[in-house]
Amino acid sequence: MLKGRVFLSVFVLMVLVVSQEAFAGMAGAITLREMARLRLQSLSFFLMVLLVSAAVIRLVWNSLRKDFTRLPHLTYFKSLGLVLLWGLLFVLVLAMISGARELLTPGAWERKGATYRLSEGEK
Amino acid sequence: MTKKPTLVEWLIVILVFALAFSFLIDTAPAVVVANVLLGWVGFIGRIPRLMQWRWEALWSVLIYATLLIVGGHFFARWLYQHMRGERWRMAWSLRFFFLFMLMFAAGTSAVAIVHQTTWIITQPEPMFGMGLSRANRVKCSSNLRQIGECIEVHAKEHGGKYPDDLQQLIIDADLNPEVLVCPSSDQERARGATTQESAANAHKDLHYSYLYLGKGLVQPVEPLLVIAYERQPSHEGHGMNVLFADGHCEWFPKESMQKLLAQIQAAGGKAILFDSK
Repeated sequence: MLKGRVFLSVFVLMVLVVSQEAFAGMAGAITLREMARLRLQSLSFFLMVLLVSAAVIRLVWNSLRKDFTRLPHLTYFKSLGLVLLWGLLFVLVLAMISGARELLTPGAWERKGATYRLSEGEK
Repeated sequence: MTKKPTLVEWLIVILVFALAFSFLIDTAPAVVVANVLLGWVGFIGRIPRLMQWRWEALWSVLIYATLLIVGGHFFARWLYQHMRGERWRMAWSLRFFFLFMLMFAAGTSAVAIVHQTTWIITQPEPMFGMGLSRANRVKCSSNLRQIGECIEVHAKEHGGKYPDDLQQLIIDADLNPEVLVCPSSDQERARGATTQESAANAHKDLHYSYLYLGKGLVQPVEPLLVIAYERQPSHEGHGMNVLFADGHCEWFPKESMQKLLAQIQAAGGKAILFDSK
């Protein structure tokens, strides 16, 4: 019950913080640029997917324990750790793929901002 | 025994804290944290409308998933029978498949988080509009009103004739070249040793933010004629300020701005009456 109230309190507080109406037309001291705001929104969405996935994985894992008694009990934080390790594996695999790409097509890619694009000569 | 606080007491505490720390609301960390915590609401509201639903791809996914579940189930049943001598259940296959899909979603999300974070850290443009975007909007509006006053002065001194361009006001109406520059734009004020030199420099792309439609107009004119507006992109695409012939200035949000720009283009760059329909 107390946990629920703490959650509610934090949520209400965040809503108050986010509420742009609180400025009542006054000039804000600081604002996010449009592109940065969109990036942060994407980041927030995928972060939420990650956190929710960890919760659901925990539920499914623990439901399997009834039939597979040797499976250990999974807490939410352990599930989150598992998901983070799995995510790290994905990032590693993608980094290896980009390395393999460079091996297969040396010099064909050029850095543009934070990413790599096919260089003009290769198009 | 300590009494637990009621919900009303909690809300009062929250409000007191919110008021006490309201000065933190507009600081960079608070803005970033708030966007990371609740930005997904905006994302969910924005992205589905932009997505193209490829039904053939969805059907393919369904067919592949079904084949994988059935094939995987038979393999697991054979293996389990061999190893443990017991029967593998379909419910287990479904749960393991669901688990695998969730892990895949989580892995993809982790990659997306790394990608977005990298972009935010390495982007060349600053993350925050330190120039007080709303204050800039107000300052920009004030610039246009000053321009309107100078046009009025010019018209009075020239038999009601409007100037040919805004830069002429630097010479004819003592307009400060800084007024021709919107504070949220990349432009900067024109400089010069003399007023004439400043006016000449103010014609360069770098030194003016407003486009003028009043060339050739002679008073009296329709008060609601649009005579000047902002060069694009203005105010990070949120909208633009517009000056009318009677000297008042209005903020046009994105949608109205696009309508007005289309109407100006259709009129061949002449002063127009804005049609909001």
